[in-house]
Amino acid sequence: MPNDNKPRVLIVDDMQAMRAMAKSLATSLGAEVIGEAENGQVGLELFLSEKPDLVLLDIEMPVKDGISTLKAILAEDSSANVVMLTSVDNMAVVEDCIFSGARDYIRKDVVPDVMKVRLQKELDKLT
Amino acid sequence: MDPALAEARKMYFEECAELLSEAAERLTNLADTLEATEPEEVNAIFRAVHSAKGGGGAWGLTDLASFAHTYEALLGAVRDGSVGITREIADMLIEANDVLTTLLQNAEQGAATDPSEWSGLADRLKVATIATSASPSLDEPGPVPEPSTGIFRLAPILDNATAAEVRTALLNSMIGVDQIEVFGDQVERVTTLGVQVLLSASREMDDRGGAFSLKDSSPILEESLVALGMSELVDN
Repeated sequence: MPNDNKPRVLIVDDMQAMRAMAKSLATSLGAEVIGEAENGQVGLELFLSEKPDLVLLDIEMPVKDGISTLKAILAEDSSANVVMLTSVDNMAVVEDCIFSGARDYIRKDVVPDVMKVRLQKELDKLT
Repeated sequence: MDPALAEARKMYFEECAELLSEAAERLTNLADTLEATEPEEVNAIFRAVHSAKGGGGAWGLTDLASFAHTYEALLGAVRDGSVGITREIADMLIEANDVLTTLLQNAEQGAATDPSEWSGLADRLKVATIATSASPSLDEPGPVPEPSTGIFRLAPILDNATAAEVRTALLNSMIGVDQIEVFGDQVERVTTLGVQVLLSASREMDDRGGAFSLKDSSPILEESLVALGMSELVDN
């Protein structure tokens, strides 16, 4: 993390509204959102160029989905902190992400206050 | 509400309206191409509904999120091939997209949608989801496929369906077949309903002199069935 200790966060989600919500929550928790991507391919490129401390990664996305993006990120940096953003009901998909190396997952189909608490915990783990 | 969150909420309605409008166009094409529909077309429709559902939960739009969940489940079954794209499925998906669009428009205006406008369709979507592509279409009767195996997936019913819906779907899966495969994949708990499904399928096939088999069951499911004295279901 840089000297100002602000965690640098990358948000990857195909919905602009969801990215805006996550950005608002992350910023309110003192993080710096260093980039946003609308699909996994752009997300991977931003990850490689920006080296964020934390990646919030959606699962269902066009072009490159969350699972293949997760694997590509971890292939580049096995210590990357990737947390899946999901409203997927099929927990097998989420488990696949965890077994593939995602640090955890945050449900995004919950009210912002609940998501904020989960996000706070993920940011706390970085320190 | 925080201004940035209020803006995100506004963005959600605008973005979803556009996504559902695009989905409606894709569904019109899907109704023409049916089984020849490109998988990415179904994927794109799925993602639109999935996004509507996720945001619906985030913004406390309970009815919208619930209906989108049911609509998404059928799209998921179509996407993974367990439900075929028949004319009736295409029509149902178009209807579901219209209803979800109405729910979204009403929610944006802060207006409630009468449950009678969507609950009946939600029930039909659930039944269609747990029925399978092995079930003969009502408007496209064809020859019984060889080998005549009915496929029934246990996982979706445990959360979403009523006993009556499960019975209907199970019977649909058994029409014209002499063996039934019940997939227990991803099932990590056994409800009374789940046990009834397995027993009904097994007994029905016994009566017909057909074969019953439980596929892809998890260790937890198998242990539960053994503990309930139904090890014969596991051994099949």
